[in-house]
Amino acid sequence: MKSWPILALSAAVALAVPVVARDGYIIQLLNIAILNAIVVLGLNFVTGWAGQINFGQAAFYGLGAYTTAIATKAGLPWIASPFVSVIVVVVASLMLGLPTMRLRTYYLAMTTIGFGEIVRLMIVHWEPVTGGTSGLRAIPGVSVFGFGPQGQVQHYYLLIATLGFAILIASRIRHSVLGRAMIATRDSEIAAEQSGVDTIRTKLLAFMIGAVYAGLAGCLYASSIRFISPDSFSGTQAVLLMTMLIVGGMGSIAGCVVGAMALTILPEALRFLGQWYLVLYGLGVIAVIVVAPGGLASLVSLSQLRRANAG
Amino acid sequence: MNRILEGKPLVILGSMISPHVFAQTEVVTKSETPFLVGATNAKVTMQGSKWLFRTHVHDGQLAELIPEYLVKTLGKTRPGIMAVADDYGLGASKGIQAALAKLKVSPAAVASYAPSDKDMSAQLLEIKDKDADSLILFGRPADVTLVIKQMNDLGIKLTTIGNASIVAQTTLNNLSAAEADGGYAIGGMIPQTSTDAKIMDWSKRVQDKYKVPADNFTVSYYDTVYLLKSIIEKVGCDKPAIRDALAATKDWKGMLISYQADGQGDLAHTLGIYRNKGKTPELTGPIKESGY
Amino acid sequence: MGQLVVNGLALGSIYALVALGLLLIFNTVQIVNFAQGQLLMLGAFIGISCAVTHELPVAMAWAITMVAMALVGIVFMVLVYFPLRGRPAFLVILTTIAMGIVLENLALIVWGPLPVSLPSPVRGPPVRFAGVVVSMHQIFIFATLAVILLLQFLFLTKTRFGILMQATAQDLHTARLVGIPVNRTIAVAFAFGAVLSGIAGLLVAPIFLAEPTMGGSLGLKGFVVSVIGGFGNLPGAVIGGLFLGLIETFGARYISSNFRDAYAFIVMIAVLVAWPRGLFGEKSSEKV
Repeated sequence: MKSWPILALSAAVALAVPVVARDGYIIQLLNIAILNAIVVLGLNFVTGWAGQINFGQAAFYGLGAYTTAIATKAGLPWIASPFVSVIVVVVASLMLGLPTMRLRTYYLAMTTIGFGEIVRLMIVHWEPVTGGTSGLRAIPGVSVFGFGPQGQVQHYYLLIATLGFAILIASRIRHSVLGRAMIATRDSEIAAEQSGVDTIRTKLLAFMIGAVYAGLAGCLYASSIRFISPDSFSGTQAVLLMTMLIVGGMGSIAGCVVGAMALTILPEALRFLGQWYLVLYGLGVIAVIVVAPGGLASLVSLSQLRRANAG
Repeated sequence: MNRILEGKPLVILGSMISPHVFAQTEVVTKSETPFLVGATNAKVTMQGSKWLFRTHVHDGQLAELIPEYLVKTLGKTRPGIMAVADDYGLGASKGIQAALAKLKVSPAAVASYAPSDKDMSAQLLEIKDKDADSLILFGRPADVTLVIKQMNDLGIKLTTIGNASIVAQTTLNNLSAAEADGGYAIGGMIPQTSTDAKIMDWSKRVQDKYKVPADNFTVSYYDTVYLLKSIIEKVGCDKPAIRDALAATKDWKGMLISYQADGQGDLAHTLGIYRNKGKTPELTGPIKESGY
Repeated sequence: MGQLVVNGLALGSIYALVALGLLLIFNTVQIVNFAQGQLLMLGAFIGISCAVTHELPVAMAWAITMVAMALVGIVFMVLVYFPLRGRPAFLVILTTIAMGIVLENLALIVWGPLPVSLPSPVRGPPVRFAGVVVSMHQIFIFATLAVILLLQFLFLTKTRFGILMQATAQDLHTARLVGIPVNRTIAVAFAFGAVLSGIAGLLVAPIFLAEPTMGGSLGLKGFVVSVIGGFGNLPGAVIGGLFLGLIETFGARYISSNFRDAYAFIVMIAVLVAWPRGLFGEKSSEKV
């Protein structure tokens, strides 16, 4: 349960940021962070709640982005692109999900990695359509009946609104029958089955919803950053998304957002470290896993618990 | 690039990687800042930006000159073509095939390999099976090294000609003398084959300081900086004036070649033909783009 | 076409070695080490540092590398296994992936990004027969795989310690209860697992050159082989490895060389869909 004052405060801060921060570069960075947050929220359904390892999230992100880019460059009016992206992504998630529903941990991890690689290879080698390793540029922007956000700041507000929406839906699902089914599946599939939960259907739905989140984020990525390349959706990115989830706190909606923000901004802020950044990042992830596997969110709730006990 | 432009630079020295340049051209052109690049994709200077200039030779020239040298001077008539399968390699491969067609020569086989591929034996065998008498090889030092190595391992002996990767220090460091010997390359001129003591010394200092050998790009960017210096000394810190001076460059002497601007913004039109003697590239001679 | 078979088998032998290292660790502690590829890369570079930078004889470089990799294996165990004992598999996977990232970037810092070559321990002209060329190094690869398999088999079945390792692999808790020095067997598993990958690295570098990013792809192929062969199954890993090497080589030649890396995954997914326990089956149970 969230407390309203904190929510209101976060919203106020979020809305005030562009007023305070004049640097276009920072706004663009935040925009990317917000998009990542949406993708990680999607991942949370699959991994955080339903407990299924998924290294394919970056692939869905990429599929959404490329679908939108290709469609809008070919002349499709923007308003249709989110729908097209969702369709592509849902089909892909079924293609990944259906054969793998019975797989466990390691096999599932391997298969999702493999899925991600196959999608990436397809993007890289289908050059006439996807631009190959060079990517696609001059992608048309968001445009509804001729109106669209201009400049980084307007995009920022659009993305914040989308994030808010995404959080709202996630929260609704969390407290719904489906959400409880997901968590039951994560905790123990056998017990969940015994209690009447259709785990296969639950897992599949989690996969699809997660993919839809990533696909829509991809659509917005293509339309706001307006340049995409396969590098942004590689296996390394998939690992990064997973670490955002872990560091922020698996299963916690706020954790997803915090994790995504932190791990998008950190590499830029620490750019002076050069190659050492990745070394420290890897060690940092290990440290978090060892010391606080529940991520930052768990640290927060821990301190809340202590305060409650002390008071 | 947005971050750089916010600092309102006078001139931008851009990347040698064509996809980067393609992505950046629009926004740099809008800022009306001279943009000097070393990227070698032929289409870089066809984007129609009058602020973009290229001071390095490009793949369009290679696509013309490699087949010309192979057919006219080396007398080979059935080349196999092997290129890295990305924009860089495939673009060059298409250009090479077109140039061969103009010379009334058709390739024995056209093959490619993924940039991260490590095993090119399948493609090499195909080229051998189709009775090629030579090999046109277009890739980057890392993969070109592997192709040459594997060609030797398979016992395939073909006259090999390609881009500068064949004589690049990185490639030669990883090949034995027997493997490297005899390979031809046409490309931007490199400092290591110069007889000028000052150039040799410069090259050594680059290696010592940066732990990476000086190559054709190092030379090109070095020349670019000095070209800009001479222009700025003449016209001052005025972006449009610098642009106009760049467009009017004529016979400016760089380290190894002289530069002359053409209508599209290309300044480099002289390439070098190199041949490996063991692990050392030797300059066979300069070769100029037709019309220069 | 015979050439493709030879090349495919040589490639497959290397995949098999990576898988063997993976399985050694997995059988003992039920951890899939997603950094196994980076261990291969480390082996290659340590070998290069000895043989190329310090110009030691290749045989000595091999010896030093094997000892160094054993130590790396133990350090790996201390950093990764002990802190994460008992944690869900998912977190362990992420930890090993993170270790892989650390190792890869440390390698980039120390050795730089450019590819480097390593001489083969064997010299000599290639052998030719029936229109097929087999290089001395390829023969060496086959020989090394055979020797390692033989040694591993003898060790695990004929020596006392080897039998203890098998017992630990079957049931760690009971083994401890019965007084088996479980920590020692785990250490040996990690050490040997690292050495096996290191040897794979020393075998790969002469043909494909070494660069810090080489671990990712080779590691993944190793996992795929383990999956195809069925986790826990050593002969399966070898056959799976050779099989994958052949599929990749033939696929690259006759279907498309662009999707070379994808063949591994496609085969893996196909195998998993048809045989969820791998081609040769694996023992697995879920605790309720």
